[in-house]
Amino acid sequence: MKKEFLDKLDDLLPLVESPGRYVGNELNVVEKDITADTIRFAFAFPDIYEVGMSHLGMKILYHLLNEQEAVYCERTFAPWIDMEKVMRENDIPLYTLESKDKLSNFDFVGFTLQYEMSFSNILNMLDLGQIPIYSKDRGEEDPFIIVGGPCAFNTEPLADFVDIVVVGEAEEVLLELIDVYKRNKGTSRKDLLKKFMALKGVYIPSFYDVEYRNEGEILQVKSLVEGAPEKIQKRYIEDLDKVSFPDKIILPYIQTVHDRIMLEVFRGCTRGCRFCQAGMIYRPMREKSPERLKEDARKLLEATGYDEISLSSLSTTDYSKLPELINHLKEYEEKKVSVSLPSLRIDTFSIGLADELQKVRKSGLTFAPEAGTQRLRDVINKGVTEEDLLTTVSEAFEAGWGHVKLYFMIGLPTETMEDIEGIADLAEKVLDRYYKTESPKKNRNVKIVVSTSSFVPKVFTPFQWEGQNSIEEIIEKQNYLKSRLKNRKISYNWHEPGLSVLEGVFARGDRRIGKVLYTAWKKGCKFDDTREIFKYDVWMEAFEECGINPEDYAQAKRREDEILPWDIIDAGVSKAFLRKEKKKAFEETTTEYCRNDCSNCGITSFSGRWVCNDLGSN
Amino acid sequence: MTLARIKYAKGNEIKYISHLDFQRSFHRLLNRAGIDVAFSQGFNPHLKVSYAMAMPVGMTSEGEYLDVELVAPMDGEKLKALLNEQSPKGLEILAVKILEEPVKSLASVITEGILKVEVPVEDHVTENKIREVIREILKKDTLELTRKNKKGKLVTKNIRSYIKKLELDRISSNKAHLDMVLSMGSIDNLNPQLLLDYIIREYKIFKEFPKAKIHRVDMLVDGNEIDLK
Ligand code: SF4
Repeated sequence: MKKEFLDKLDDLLPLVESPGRYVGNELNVVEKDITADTIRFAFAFPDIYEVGMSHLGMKILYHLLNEQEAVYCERTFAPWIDMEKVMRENDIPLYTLESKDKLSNFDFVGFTLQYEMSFSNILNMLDLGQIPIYSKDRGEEDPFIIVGGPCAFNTEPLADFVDIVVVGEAEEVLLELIDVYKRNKGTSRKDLLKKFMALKGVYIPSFYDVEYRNEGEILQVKSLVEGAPEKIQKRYIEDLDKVSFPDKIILPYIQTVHDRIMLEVFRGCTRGCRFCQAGMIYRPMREKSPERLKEDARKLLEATGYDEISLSSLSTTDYSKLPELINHLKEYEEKKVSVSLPSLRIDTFSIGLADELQKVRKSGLTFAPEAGTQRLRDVINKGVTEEDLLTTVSEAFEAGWGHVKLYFMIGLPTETMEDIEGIADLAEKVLDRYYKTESPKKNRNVKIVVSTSSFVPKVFTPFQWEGQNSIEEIIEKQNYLKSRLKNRKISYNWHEPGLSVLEGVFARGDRRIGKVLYTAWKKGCKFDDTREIFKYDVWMEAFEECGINPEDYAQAKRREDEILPWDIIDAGVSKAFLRKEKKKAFEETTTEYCRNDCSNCGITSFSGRWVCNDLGSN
Repeated sequence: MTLARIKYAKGNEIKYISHLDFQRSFHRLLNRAGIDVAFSQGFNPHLKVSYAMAMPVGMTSEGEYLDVELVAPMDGEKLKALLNEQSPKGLEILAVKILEEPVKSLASVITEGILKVEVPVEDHVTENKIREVIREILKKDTLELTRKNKKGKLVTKNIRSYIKKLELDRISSNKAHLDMVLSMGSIDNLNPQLLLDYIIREYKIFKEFPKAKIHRVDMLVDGNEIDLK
């Protein structure tokens, strides 16, 4: 199949940065013949190639879909600014890397929603792919726009643009969807959507209408189609050992953000930090067996030739069979394959382990105390103490580490300047521990990095009703911290406050935000999470034009009894549990983590068969 | 010590891959093929692979070379087959020679590169005109090119002697097909694109856009082919 723009593309690619992003041809890509019967799925990642190709979920779904004979799944990514310019000037549509066909020729275009700040890229990609932006403007010939991923738990800001939302883990749902599509080919778009609607975990936003009160609160949600469910229950896989995992994954040529084998050791998290959305929406915690992981690792090493494996999860050191797994993976050590843990919890077990893994390269360690005082750590249920942290860093210094990164959030509910002060104190105490270290291995280049992001209330967390700080408040706190961290050995990184506010608007936004998104995109907003490109002023202009005050979404508190835009989704954790946790937060009392004591989050009654009891055994 | 000297081709599919990315990919290819490659000692051990020349982004080639130090001797044909079985699109292993004696590194002995270049011709420029320009260039005793060196300083060099061969093969669909042999290697080195830029600037016979397609046919050592028999 010869595309008319391919020759042009060949001439133009030398003009753009990293042209390798736009050509494909990597090892293990799937090639199929496209016939009239082929169901064509374009997996679209709303960020550049290097980010998208670091994403494990995309690789899993790519191979899962391609295992189906009838389906051909291909990939596309957001072109970087320079490439977009070249494409627009030369009438080159957004195409997939495999067949180099334009997006509008596909049956499905699936976007993964990893972070709110990529929403503008989605509109841009639809436009570049010559697909109508609004779902109401799409006709029988146009693809279905399907979305999933963590942000699918509140897709209301995207409700006017997407056709199908998959809530929860998509592995099984996608195959069911494809099956329905295959069996009903030739049926009208609307009828197909109705058939999709019947699948568990599938939400069709256009089948509902939302009515608001004057002040913006939701009055009621009306279904427009008979049988449209009142609640969409998320999907999750009960037995991770049985879930499909690719034998081969695509091996990118260009260096990606995570350029290594990623082994997902479990899903979910047992800790219950109150700000953490992932910890709530991925409940219950499900582990993969060490045997299965060993097998996955072997296959992927063979298929790629990587020499690094990283164990990934929300908090990998909580994996109950970690020593066993590490032991399994030792076998690859003589082949010079290194194993790494991306994130460490603050407990002493971690250091011994990290030491074990990083025998040669003692690079940095990252810890996330999240808050500067014990009081605030109790509010968020972080479950670690200052002493935990100090003991752990001491051990790290003794074992030869020199760089320690401390990760905090500012703007948490109930936070005062004392808590900000606490961040600076903690950093100094950490440095102090370094000076007290007497180990001969002591690293001479000590460096403490304090990094703060701003708290953004996320849906399906106990803080979903809370407001966030204003830009001014965030800046004030950041400046205060800057002035307090004057030691040369301590450096400070902070997040762009405007971005956090926008993230807050989208995280808990309703359907009316879609208009703002469209307006901002029209005005040129894209790649919003890139500091140099993010146009805060343009976004504010867009809000103004649409008559929407971002503060009503970001800073405003919500009443516990109001209808929330995301109430249509059932994430498994009950509202009663979230309310209880919120109350406990303000009482500064903590909740035991699941392994020690179940706090009845609701997930067991959500899906009848599930029991969360044997997490801690062995 | 056993060294496998490998000749390979880089096709269109991977011409946009930088040298660093290619190196990484090649190491992974060796891993997949299960070749026992020697590791360097020290703090951060790495596979002992050395490349004859880095290849600029955008260029294709059928004459690239690298040396791999093996832990144990193995048959060259077998090594070639194992690698080709695992190699991604656009990369082909053309020949392998096993060397048991210590040899000088490829990078230190390479002297010239043979190139085929396809460059778009300005409208109304004839074949004769191009030949005339080439004759004129070749008649010169000095041909000075100014460029930035690695430190960012401007340096001027007489590159006339670096041009061993410059010929027009033919023009087809408005593109000139040139044959070149240019100095290449650690002593004297002339990037073909620089020479093209010079011709475009001084004689205006070629277009700047689209960029010339440059293909490396082979590398030479003092005018001779590298022996892989
Ligand atoms: S049901 Fe209990 S143990 Fe299971 S995830 Fe919820 S709180 Fe934790």
